[in-house]
Amino acid sequence: MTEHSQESPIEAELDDPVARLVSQIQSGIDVERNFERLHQLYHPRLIRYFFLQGQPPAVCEELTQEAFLRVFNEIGTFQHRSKFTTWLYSIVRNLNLNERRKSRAAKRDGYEQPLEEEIAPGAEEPWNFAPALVSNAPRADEEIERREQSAILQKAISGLPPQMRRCVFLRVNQGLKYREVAVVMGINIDTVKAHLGQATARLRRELGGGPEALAQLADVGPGNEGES
Amino acid sequence: MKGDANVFGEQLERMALESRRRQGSSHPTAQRLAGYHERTLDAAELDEIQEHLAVCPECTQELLGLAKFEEVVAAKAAAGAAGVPTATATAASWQTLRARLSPQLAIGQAPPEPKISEPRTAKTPSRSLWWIPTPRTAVALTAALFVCMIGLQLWIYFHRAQPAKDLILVQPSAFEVTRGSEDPRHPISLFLGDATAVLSLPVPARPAFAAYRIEIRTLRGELRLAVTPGLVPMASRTDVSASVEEMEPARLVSFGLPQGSLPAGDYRLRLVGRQGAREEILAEHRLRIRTP
Repeated sequence: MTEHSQESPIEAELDDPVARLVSQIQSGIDVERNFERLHQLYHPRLIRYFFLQGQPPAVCEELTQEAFLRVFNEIGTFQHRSKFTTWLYSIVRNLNLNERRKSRAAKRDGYEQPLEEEIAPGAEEPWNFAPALVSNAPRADEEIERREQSAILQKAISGLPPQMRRCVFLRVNQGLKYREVAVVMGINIDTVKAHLGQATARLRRELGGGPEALAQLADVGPGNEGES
Repeated sequence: MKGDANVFGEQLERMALESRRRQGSSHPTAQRLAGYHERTLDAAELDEIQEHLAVCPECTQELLGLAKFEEVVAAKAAAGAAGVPTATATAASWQTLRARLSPQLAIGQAPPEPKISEPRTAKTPSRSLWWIPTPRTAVALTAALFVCMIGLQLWIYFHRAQPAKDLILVQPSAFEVTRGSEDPRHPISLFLGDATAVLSLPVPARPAFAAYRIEIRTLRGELRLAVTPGLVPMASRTDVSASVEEMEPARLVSFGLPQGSLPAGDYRLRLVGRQGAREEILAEHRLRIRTP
């Protein structure tokens, strides 16, 4: 077929074979064969993705089918401004979330046996007056000390270079692993470790002594084991 | 610094909340987040989104989800590994999908039309659509049309306010009333016989001047006569078909031109408005004087 040899200028610019394949489908060139190639390429990967997201095997195939149907119907909206994978993710992500919502709703609709022990009729309520007599509010001197600490910490954290400060936030505030911080920041994992090490040293120096609080910044926390 | 391990975390939480409040409730769009991930944005945008990510767990998780998906998709998992279908399963899946898509695949083998009809390359627009203006051109054309309409309205406003610059010539001896125009090719012929001729010029209502002067000059510009007559109100029109503008009370300047005041010849008759030091020629007529 002569259509196979024809290439639009945009196709010639596309180095990515997947984008090239998508472009040919969009142009109506041998749609069935090209879409089959796309399916062969992504079917095992999407199945594995849904599997890793915790979906049952039967549902994985169903979701993958639905994803390919959407890809076919909406492929005209893909404008090659981002990678095909990024665009595909927007479809796959929605399908995955919808499926999770559906399964959660199905669980909610089921009959649930309450686990709490019922209080026998006529039995006395286990009144406990003790908590009401003890105030949980901080004492005045503790509050003042807390505010002072807060001001010192804020000054010290704000004084860190932007990228270092962002690494600290992602690591401590959001509890990310070093590898995840590296992904979010778009930098090398070793750079993340260096940033966090330097941040710890700087904060220890500026705050005086070694606050136990910094342990969560410098230590290899849960999920970081084995990360070199 | 002494303190429990939560102080540091609590402080970061407070700072993150403060930062999010400063940034407002807007999160970067999925497209911008993808641009951040692919590093296709400019440095300022990358920095802005990175700052947002540091304090926004939702967007961070969204980005990590995309990164995880790419990681899974990029990895070439061995067939038979957990969650990886066999080649047979993939082939069977294609057959099912093909059957579901068969109505669409049968119609000319073309995928559905894109919902967003945007050209993929701005450099090579389709020849058949050359007549459809781009959004920028459409805006420019609309703006130009708007300016033209405003200009036309202003032109009409300023020109309709002025009455016809006719010259009304009354020659009592002949009981003749002549109306002239500003057309220099058709001079008004005035016979200065044995009686005084009266010349009247309507004065434009706008712009109003403090005083008006009538000048008679030779064609070479030499001043022969200058008078500063008073304004005479004209009678209002009673024509019910006249428009509001036409019914505005008009005024005249009139003066008499006695016998022998000008030798025969061609002249220019001018109506000049004066406002302080400013003077403006409001009307000019060609006048041909004839004498006995």
